Amino acid sequence: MAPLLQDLMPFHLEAPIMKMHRDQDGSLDKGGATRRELLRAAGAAGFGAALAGCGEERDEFEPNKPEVPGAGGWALGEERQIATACGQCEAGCGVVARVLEGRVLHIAGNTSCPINRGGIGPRGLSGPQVLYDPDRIPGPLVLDGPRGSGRWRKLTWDEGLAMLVERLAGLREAGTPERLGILLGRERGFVREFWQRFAAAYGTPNLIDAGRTNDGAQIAAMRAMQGISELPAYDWENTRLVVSLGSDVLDASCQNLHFARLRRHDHELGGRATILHIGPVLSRTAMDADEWIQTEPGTNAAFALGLAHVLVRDDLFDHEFVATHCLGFEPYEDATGRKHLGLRELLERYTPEYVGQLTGATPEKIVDVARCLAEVRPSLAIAGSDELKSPSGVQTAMAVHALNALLGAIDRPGGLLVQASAPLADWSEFEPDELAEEGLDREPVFAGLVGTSAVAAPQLDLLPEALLSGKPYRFDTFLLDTTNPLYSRAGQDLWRRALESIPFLVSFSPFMDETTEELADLILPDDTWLERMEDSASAPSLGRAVFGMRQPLVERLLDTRSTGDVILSLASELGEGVGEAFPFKDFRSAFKKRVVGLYKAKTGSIVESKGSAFLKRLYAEGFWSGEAYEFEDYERVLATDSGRFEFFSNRIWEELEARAEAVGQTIEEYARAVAGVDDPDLLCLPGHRELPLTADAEAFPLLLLPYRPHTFARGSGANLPWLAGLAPWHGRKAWGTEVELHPETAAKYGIEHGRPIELVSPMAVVRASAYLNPGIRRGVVRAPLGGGHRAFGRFAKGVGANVMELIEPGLRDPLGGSSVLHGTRITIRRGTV
Amino acid sequence: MRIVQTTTRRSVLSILLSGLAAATTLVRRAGAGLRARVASNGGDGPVGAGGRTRRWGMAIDLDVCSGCGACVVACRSENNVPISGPGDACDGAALEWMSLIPRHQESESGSTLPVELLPTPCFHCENPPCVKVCPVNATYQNEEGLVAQIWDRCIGCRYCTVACPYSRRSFNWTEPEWPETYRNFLNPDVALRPEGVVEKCTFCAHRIRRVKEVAALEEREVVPEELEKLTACAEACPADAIIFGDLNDAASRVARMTRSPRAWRMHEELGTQPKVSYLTRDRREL
Repeated sequence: MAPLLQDLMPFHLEAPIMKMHRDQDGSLDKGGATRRELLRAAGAAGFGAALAGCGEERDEFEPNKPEVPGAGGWALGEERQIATACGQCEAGCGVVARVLEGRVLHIAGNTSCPINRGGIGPRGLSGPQVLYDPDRIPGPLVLDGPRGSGRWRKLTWDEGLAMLVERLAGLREAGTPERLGILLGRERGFVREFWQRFAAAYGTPNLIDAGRTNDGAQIAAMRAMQGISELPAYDWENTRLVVSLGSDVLDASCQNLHFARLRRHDHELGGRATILHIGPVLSRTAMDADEWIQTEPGTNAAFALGLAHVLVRDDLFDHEFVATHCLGFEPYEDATGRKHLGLRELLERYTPEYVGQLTGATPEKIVDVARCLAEVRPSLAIAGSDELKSPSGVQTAMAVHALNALLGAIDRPGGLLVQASAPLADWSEFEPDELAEEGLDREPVFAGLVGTSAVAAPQLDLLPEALLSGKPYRFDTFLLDTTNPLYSRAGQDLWRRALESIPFLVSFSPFMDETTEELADLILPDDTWLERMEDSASAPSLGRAVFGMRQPLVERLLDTRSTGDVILSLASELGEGVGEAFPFKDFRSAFKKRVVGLYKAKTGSIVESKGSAFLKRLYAEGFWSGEAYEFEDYERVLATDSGRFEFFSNRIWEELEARAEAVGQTIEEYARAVAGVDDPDLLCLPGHRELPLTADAEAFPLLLLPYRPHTFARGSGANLPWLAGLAPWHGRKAWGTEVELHPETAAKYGIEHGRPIELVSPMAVVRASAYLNPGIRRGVVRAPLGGGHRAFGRFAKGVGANVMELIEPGLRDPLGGSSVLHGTRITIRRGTV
Repeated sequence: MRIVQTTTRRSVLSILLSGLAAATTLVRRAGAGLRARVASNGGDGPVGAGGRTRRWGMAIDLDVCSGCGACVVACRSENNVPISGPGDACDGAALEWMSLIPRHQESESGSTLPVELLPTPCFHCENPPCVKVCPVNATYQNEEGLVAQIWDRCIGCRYCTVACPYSRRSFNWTEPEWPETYRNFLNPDVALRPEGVVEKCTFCAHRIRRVKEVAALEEREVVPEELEKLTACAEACPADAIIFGDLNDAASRVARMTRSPRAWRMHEELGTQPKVSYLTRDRREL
């Protein structure tokens, strides 16, 4: 069946006229050429007249693409491969977009980017569905009716900005700039810094972090023990053994991609790393591991301390590292002469037998794992993000971190690193004016809540309480950027009441998410990441410095504006005092001011003698990467006051002291009050505490383990059908919420596989379908987050259930301060179809 | 069920047009000499390096695959696979060329435990059962071993769907629909399939064609390295688990992987001789 046309047209790729592709078998690909092109082709061949009769007729197989802005600037069939940084998750992979005639068709990994080396996750691939989402907000909108009515009136940008500027100028005129709150979901990057600068210049102390809560416990542990307020990076490429202590690295983490590569790299070197997973459920990480040890929920810290016990008992730890770079292994006296407990003493009680009892693992296995960690070098222990959202999350992360220090894995090849920062230049300094100074000196929103959390800055989850208390003052305006608390936080009623109490809410979301639809008064929609210029704001990855740049791939589709530019407009419109802090023409020039630092550093992947040549290459390559990672740079990575790795965190101690003093208690009383611990030393060291469970055990006998599936994160990918159609894991039923439980647990409640199930907590009833999986611990129900949207576009709305509704907002980690995901008790019953 | 008329006035016209287009371009760009050269060094033909006939195949290393689903999404994006909504997914009517299929294992208690995910494209069998049953020759095996499908010729009888022991064929029960804006990212290299037509993985045949044509224009042979990550699924895979290439080129990575002692093929006992090999997981003892 030799195709007839094959012999005739072997070169159709090069010339636009030949864009008409055949299918593999030679039949015509009618999708390949639009009617317009066919007509032109025909015209060129002098056969235009022959077509005239059917020119208006639409071919049913023809893509029939809608017009897009800027398409006129493209030649027929013109295709460009544009390098940029992916904006779908925090990893910030280098990607190359295939853009044809002004339309983004496909996204592929950038093979030269050190973060992902050509690989790309399912989220990144779904980029085109973000850009072309049919339910994007078309332009600035103002509420034209009561909140939540869904009645909006279109505005021009000038009108929208003027409305907000008037409000903000009014607050400053009244001398109360602190009544502006900014709820910011961006975790890193220039736009975040722009907001910080804006808040300082405007004079509000109320820039509230809504983004760092996901990995809060791990960051808090890094800060407590190494003095670094950032997630760790890992040397995945060189490690030989990874012990995952309940880590959900393949589900929720930005390290997902690096972890997936873990094996590939070592394969090239002749052998890959061995992976061991410890945890209560057969998660994707467990499934991927060479061995999985099933343990009781909430016992990861105990397991880590058990391993540490064996390392110390059998003298298998890194003496040199502990002696020269650590503090608090032995009992020690602080500057005031107070004696503190050391790690060695703390570990004494975590014998393999005791840990075996707690975790359900055999003592022999615990000894075995510890010995492997010591013998197979380099080795590494990792903690997870969702698993750490338990009431002892920070101390669990500290336990795993301490294990790495005992192994001498800190800042060594194959170990745990601290991401090197790119040598960016700084923006010029500015002085807040008198009005701003006054505002900044006022008490921030959380001031009334000192004493509710022990160490971390008061977290997002305390915001509703603070707002409802009306103290220290009532807010006038709130700006919401990249955050959707009305969907993604526990205690939605409380959140709703709290945000409703604010007279004016402004959302910058490009999508109609729950908070925007139900509460916003004004929407100033941001561009999507495929339309704007910014830095990639990557989370730590492999240690080496990487600066990813994101650039517009196409002209903006709708009447949106990048939030960076909006902040700039706000500042310049506000004028005196605020405008001076932003001496930039536009966000792009502010971006360039920072990037100059990379050019001047004359190092890394792009070195050019001329600035213009540097920029040209940066635009073409999409990223700049620094020199190879420098190991054992302890001055940099051990940034505690002592310059050492602190098993006993002085920082936590000092925070405890300060807070105890603020509420007029002794440190012992304070520790007892916030954490129920008699000896405050025990809060400054790694530690295991049992899950304090909510609700009464008889009515709610099961433990809920919510998790973030890798496709959805916390629901941010739910509006993309490619991701929604990808089952969270196991290749199971897509579109919808499937909760997993052990067949025996299910049998007790008469629940059948694949049938409806209702999860009941004191907070809510959630309907889902059941998946019976013997890989789930008995008495535990595992449920994915990210479903059950009430808004957020046609593909997300009403699909699945929002498991977050079950979670009680009151339970907190005393050290981390944020609400916990793990610790909610529920019961289940058969659902109705 | 509506049976789609396969040859319409429009398609006849398009064939005519494309012939004309090709002819003009040939004259303009290439000339007669180049065409002969292309034919001699492989070009669009089935003959690869060293005069061997190409045999396209794939190897999937389950030891490195983490089951993230990038291959599934990459395939949808590249091949204009219609979006399946919640309704379709529940009815089992979702269209998917590349799927993640879980493999289960008996657990100690006797129940089954999902232990790994297999990315499953069409296996492009050497002895394809689907080809044998097609009453209209819409699906056939081409000279390079691809199990190809002519969308226009398919009458929607779905014999092939039933015959495929791996369920790698999907049927368009309805006319595929995209929201207006989604039509922007449809790939013009791949035809859309209408209602009533069976569709399946093509091993990204349009990319194979492109790589051959580029090589021909540059007057060189296709090198194995440009084939390894040729298909959209292989290109996307963050773990480098999927490798594509010419099985007849013994030195190629895919051929080497296929010869690995860890390699196996799905339901080999059926005699279908799939050209996709899996490399079994290599679990380490602590």
